[in-house]
Order: sequence, then C-alpha cells, then structure tokens
Amino acid sequence: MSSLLILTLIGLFLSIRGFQAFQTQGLGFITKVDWTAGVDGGKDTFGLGAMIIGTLVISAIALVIGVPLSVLTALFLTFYAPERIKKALVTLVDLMASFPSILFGLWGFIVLMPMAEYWAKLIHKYLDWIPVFSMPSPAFTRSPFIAGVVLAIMIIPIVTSVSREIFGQTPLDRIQAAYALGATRWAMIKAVVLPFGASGVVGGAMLGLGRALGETVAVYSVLNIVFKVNFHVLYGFGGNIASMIVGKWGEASLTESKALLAAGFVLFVMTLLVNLLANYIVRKTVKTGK
Amino acid sequence: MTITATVTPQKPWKVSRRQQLPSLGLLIGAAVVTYAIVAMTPMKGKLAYLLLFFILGTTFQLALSWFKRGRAAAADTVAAAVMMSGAFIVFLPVASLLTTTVTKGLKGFRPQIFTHTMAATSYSDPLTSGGLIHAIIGTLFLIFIATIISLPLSILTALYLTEIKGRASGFIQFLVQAMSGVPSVVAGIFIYAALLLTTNLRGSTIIGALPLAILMIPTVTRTAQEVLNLVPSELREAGLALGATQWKTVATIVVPAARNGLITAVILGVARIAGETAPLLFTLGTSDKINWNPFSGGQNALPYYIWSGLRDGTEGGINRAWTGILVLLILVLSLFVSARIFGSRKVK
Amino acid sequence: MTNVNSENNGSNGEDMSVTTPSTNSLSSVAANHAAHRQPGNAPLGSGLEARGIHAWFGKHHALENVSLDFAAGTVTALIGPSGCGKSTFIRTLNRMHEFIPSAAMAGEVLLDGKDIYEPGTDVTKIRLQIGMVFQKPNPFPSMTIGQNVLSGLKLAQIKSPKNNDDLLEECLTRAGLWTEVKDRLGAHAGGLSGGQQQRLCIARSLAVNPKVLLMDEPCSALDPGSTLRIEDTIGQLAQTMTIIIVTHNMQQAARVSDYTAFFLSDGGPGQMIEVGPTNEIFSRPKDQRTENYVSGRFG
Repeated sequence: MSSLLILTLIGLFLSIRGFQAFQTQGLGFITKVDWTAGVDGGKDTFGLGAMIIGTLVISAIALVIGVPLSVLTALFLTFYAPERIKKALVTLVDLMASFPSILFGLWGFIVLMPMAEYWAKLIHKYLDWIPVFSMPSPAFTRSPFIAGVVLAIMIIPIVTSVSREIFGQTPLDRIQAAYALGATRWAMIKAVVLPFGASGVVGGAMLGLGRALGETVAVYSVLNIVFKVNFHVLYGFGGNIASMIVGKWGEASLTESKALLAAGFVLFVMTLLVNLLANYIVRKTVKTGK
Repeated sequence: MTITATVTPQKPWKVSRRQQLPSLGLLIGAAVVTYAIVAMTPMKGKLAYLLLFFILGTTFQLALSWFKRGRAAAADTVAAAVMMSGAFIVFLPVASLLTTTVTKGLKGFRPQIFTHTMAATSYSDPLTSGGLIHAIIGTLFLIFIATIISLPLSILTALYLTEIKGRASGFIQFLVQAMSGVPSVVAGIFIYAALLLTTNLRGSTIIGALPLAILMIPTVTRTAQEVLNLVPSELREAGLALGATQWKTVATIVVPAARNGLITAVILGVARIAGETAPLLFTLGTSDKINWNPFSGGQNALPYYIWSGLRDGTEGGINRAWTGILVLLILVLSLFVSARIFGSRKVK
Repeated sequence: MTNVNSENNGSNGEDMSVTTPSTNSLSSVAANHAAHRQPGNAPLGSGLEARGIHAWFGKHHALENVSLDFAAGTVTALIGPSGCGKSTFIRTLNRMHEFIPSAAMAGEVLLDGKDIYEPGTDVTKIRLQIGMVFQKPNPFPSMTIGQNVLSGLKLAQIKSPKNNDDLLEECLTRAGLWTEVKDRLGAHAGGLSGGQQQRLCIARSLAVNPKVLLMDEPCSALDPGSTLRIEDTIGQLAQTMTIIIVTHNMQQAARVSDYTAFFLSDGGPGQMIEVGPTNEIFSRPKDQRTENYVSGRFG
C-alpha cells in the first residue's frame, strides 16, 4: 500500500534528520547546562541540561496539581453527578480539550498570573521552609510554578477523560457486592473502583505528561526563559525545551539553529517514550478490564 | 387478595426536601461562622472566605453524619464534599477561559476586522484600525492544504488497519501512535530541517501545512479506525457474499456506512490543527497583507496573528490578540459542534 | 393467595395425590426435607414481611402486588420461569432495586416490624442486616481470602465483638470453606474455583451477622458438587437466620426450602401466584398454573 510507504518514509526521514543534528552535538549536549551563542570569534557551547530539568520540573508541577484534580472530577462525574448535569459537564470537559494552546498562554499571562502571584506569595509566606518554595529574592511573576499551573489546566481534560472511561468500566458485580454488604458510596469507591482503575489512571496521567512535555506557546507566555537550573519553583525563571526552541529561534545563527534542532530531537525522544508507554498502559487496562 | 385503588410508582429513597433541611441549616451556620471569623481575624480575600467556608461546612456535615450514622457515613460525607470541590475547581478555569475570551475579545470585534489587514496598521495602534482577514484567509489555506495531504493518507491507513489487517499492521499501528505524541514544535522544526535548512526554499503556506499534516494524520487515523470498527461485519460479509471483491465492498459499502464518522474524524483533525501556533513559527512565511498565493509571498494565520499581538505586548497588541482568539475559538467550537452533530447522525 | 403462618410443620410422609412422576419425586424430596427439619435454635429477629410490593422500571410494570411473610429461621424458595420478577422482587428486599436509575416501587418491607423504606432510614444499616449472595460469585479480586471475608466490617467501619481471627474461622466454617482455605488465608481470592468463590461470598455475607440472607440463584453458575455443598450450608445457616433463595432448579427448592412461592408473568407484570409449605406446593398445589409449572408442562 503506497500510503504506508509514504507514511513510513516521512517518519524515518524526519527521525534521521533529527538524529543527525543530534549527533553533531555529541552526547554532552544533554548534560551540559550552559547555552551561550558564540559572539564573533567566540566558541559556542550548547548545553541542554538546564532546559531538560526545567521541562521535568514544570511537568512535575503540572502532574501534581492536575492528576488529583482530574481523578476527583472523573469520580465525581461517574458516581456523584446527577444525570442531568453530567452530560453537560462531560461535554464541557471535552470542549476544554479542544482549546488551542495559545488561548491558555494568553489567558495564563493576563488572567492567571496575577492570581497565581498571590498564591505564590501565600505559599512562600507559610511554606518557605520547604527548600523548593524558598526564594533567593522576591520575583514571583513568570515562574515555573505558574507555568506548571497552566499546564495542569491543560492536561486535566485528557486525564479526566481517560479516568472517566476507566471508572465507567468498573465491573458492576463488584460494585453490587460492595453495596450489598452495606457499603457507603465512598467505601465502595475505595474498595472496588480505585483498585480497578489505578493502572488506567496512571496511563492517563502519562498521556497528560506527554502533552505537558511538549507544550510551547503556553509556557513561553508565562515563563521567563533563562538558562539556569532552577528548583525554586516560585522564583521567576526557568524554561522547558519547547519554549526555549521558540524563544531562541528568532536570532539564531546557523550553528545555533542546528543545536535547536538537536534539542527538538531530544524532546521528540522524551515525548515518544512517554506516549508509547502511556498508550500501552491505557490499552491494556481498557481492553482486559483487569 | 383483591387489588384495590391503583398504586403509583414511588421513589422513597430519594432524599426529600425536609430531610435536607438539617444540612442546609448547617451550611448557613457555617457561612455565618465564616463571616464572623473573617471579621475578627486579619484574614482577608476571597480565598480566605471560600476556604474557611468549605472547611467549616464540611466539618459540620461530618459531625452530623458521624453522630447520626457512624464513621463510614462521616467518611462518605467528606468524600462527597471533596469530590464536588475538585470538580468545582476544575470547571472554574474553563468558565474563566470562556468568559475572558468573550469579554476581552468583543472589545475589538468589529465588522471591519473581516475586511482589513494589518498591512497599514501596527499592533499597538488603537483598535479602530486594522483587521485580521489576512489571517483568516491564511488559516483557511493551511487547513485546506493540510487536509488534502493528510486525508487520503489517514483514511487509507485506517482502512488498511481495519479491513486488510496485513502483516505490517503492528508496525503501522506503532507508527501512528508514535506520530500522535509528536509535539507540534518538533513537527515544525523537523520540517524546517528537512526542507528549509538545506534548500533555497522560503517559508510559505505550503510548507507551513506540512507539520500540520503530520499532526493531523494520527488524529484522523485513530478516529477513523474507531469508526470503521463500528461498522457491523454483517455488512462486509453481505457484500462479499454477493461476489464483490474486498476493495469493492470496502469502497461501496463500508466507507459509505461509516461516512458520518469519517467526516467527524476529519473535522476533529482540523480542529486540532486550526489553533496550532508553534509549527508555524518555523515554516510559515508571514505577511501582513492579503495574499492568495500559498506558494510564495507569505501569508498569515490566526494563531500567528494572536502570537504577534501577544509578543507586541502593548495594550493594543494584547487586545488584538484577544479578538483573534475569539475568532479562533468560534472557529474551533463550530468545528467541535459540527463533529458532534455528524458523529451522532446515523447513516440510513 | 395464602398467607403463610409461622408454624413450623414437621410433616410426615403422607401419601401424595396421583400426579406425574416428576411431581412425585419432587414432593417426596420436599417431604423428606420437611421431616428432617429442625426448628431453629436461635432465630434472629422476627422475620421479614413484604406487603403489597410493586416494582417498575420506568413505565414498565415489572412486579405486581406481591405480599409474602418470611418467618424467622425458615428457608423460602422463590420459583418460576425466567423473567417473571423473582430477581426484581428479591432486590426490593434489601433496597438494591433502587440502584437502577429508572426504578420505582410501591409497598412496604418490614424488618422486625419496621418498614425499611421509611424516609430517613439509613440504608447501609439495612443492608448489613439483610445480606445478599449473587448468581455469579463476586469476591473482591484486589483482596486476599481473609480480607474478603472481613471486607464487610471494613466497608462499614464497624468492629465485631469477636476478634478477627475467630470471626474469620467461624464464618468460613459456617460457609463450608474453612478446611480448604485455612492454610492460605493470605492468598488472593481469584485463585479459588467457582464453588469456592461462592462459598467465600457466603462467608463474607455472614461476617456482618445478618438476620436475613437473600440468595439470587446462587448455584446456577456452579458444578453439581459445589451446588450440593452449598445446599448443605443453607440448611445449617437457616438455624440462625432467615433465608430466601431464588432458584430455577425445582429439585433444589424441594431439597432446601421449608416454604416455596411460585411467581409467574402472563406477559404483564410478574405476580406471586401461590405460596405454601414446600411439600404441599409440589404435591398438592392449589393453583392450576402452579401445578403446570411443577409438573414440567412449561418453564
């Protein structure tokens, strides 16, 4: 089938190109932290390390905030919501999944940032004994925390949808057994639904992670892209690979462009692994129903 | 036993209004206490009110449940409260996103935006000048070209996977899955590397449509697969039993039966790419004028227009961005709604 | 329709009226059961009483005006062809019927004289007192055997007066499963055979000390060996609780029950046609339709 050939060719071609770009940088590319474009005569060093860590930090925040909220919402929709509003809410969640990411970027910048700044100050005030929340100096805007919050909102529709599907497939006979023993709704959920749906939720969370890893414009709008490792999530700079590529693109020299390409390849590999693992987990639980 | 008066169906398990009174009373009580506490302590702000009300309200309900019905019921009450607040927290941003888009976008939403471009205006100018028709045209071209490229590939691939199920199916399925995870920025930069870095080609709409096609193919293929799998096998068997070849059966029976679903798949794919920004930044030659030629000269696109407004950073620029988003959102939502409509229509 | 009174008749093997051979053997089995039936030592509570039960699914009237008395310490079998409302009826007895969104009902179910449908009743407490065993064994796969048995206590967050190990052994013994699993209480429930799983479910229901046990065709998915073992269990359980069992198997009804109620639907809502002591239902049914069913002419 010719279309398959075309498809395969596309896939292979792009991967090879990307890999070549990666090769020119050497393996240290991943671990080196600095990224300085050489001034005339100077030597360029391109190190992706800070951005990789930044990607992971922001995605971690997104997961920590987004996954529990998604699970709660999925449970609510499956077991608590009255029939009439359930359909409306489910449509709303699916709708949210189709919003363009630039909308989240703009909204995050205009609406969320002031609010998030307020929360960040609050967290800092009460929780700054936790190292992650301490700050070298007060600069609360455009921090990884805010980026993480925006990403959390973006991944909630995916994780909620997958979780909802899994919870809806809980075998009815086990649910009835729990109720017949005199269980309350929550006791039933804890004993039957959660053990059954746990791996499916994990798969859904990984799908959300895959989305968060590659988010570009939303992150770029609310984060100060700076090339230093930053674990103080409330402090106003950081970055992830995708937004860094976009940020540096405008003025990149030829060699720097190639380095950006290599960065894109690294991102591709990361996302690919996460997504394949996620798809595997989700399909296994949805099909076999444990 | 004689059957006397007609009996009416009832649902005695439904919680009556009267039974809900104690809970309601508790909630009102919690509100009063919240107000009192906030008035007396240095706490302030909406967050304080909400959080305090939630904690107090839940604690009171919990106490009532525990006292009347025991530990398990108390846990159940707390769980229900947590679920509802979780869902509430999730739907707040959705509501905010929609209302902000509408309120802020409407400011610049005049009929002129559909007739003017940014050729004579800069982003920071007041909203009475300029428009985004060039962006709309560009987006339409992008969608059109991307669809032409991806539609045959997707549908054929989906058909291969569901109808032929040849030996390459596992590999192809894997490939489709891998493609579905590609971040849009990666697709953009790869096309750049493949076509623009090493050749003399300049960015244009044709090239801009390529990463969009890459993003669209897996979406359409997966939905198409699901839809084709829903076609009952009896239809296929009937066709084959009548002596048709597999290809003829597929073409004349299966595809028409799945037609609405396939249309849905395409619409969903278009909705996905209509709002993509990142790939365009690497591949689209941009311009502020109307340009009907997708091959050269550069066009604009709605996401790029919005992006420019955002980067401009001035009040005018941001306002334009909101208007652009409103237009884009209308487009995406219309696609979404039509996908729903097509998806639920049954083929006669 | 007869209303059954709570005497416990020990009937002697009187001669049967002349009917077809199948009824003969059924009634002899029933007579045998009745002859060996001991009155309950410690019947719990004063039994269950259903009055004027109707059930609907949306507009569909599934059950019409069923009234039955279940005396404490007795075993009652509900028989009848498929689709005549037996399962629906039994689910109104422990308020499981209401889980179906379109369900509605009318009538009363009195446990120890109190209507379980009274507004304000805590339904979870009701279900602790009226337990249920389902047609398909449904142990919780994420728990071990021991955890399954005690799961009812954990779900309701109640503590048993006995300590857990003793309770475990007692319930599994009463369910006839102790000797087979006593060395592997920590194993997962999924590794048991169908019959063992069903006995595990019975043990699980026993752990919360119900007064009434409802059984919805508990043996129809099991092999004959497991079936007989469970029937033995039923006989022993009846000494301390009231049992109501829905069954398609008339021989089973004859073997285990003291009273039998016959349900039938003539295309409309299901009705309870006749109820009486088991050996009478099988040997001298009062209603022609009952006789047609038990003699195998239909169903």
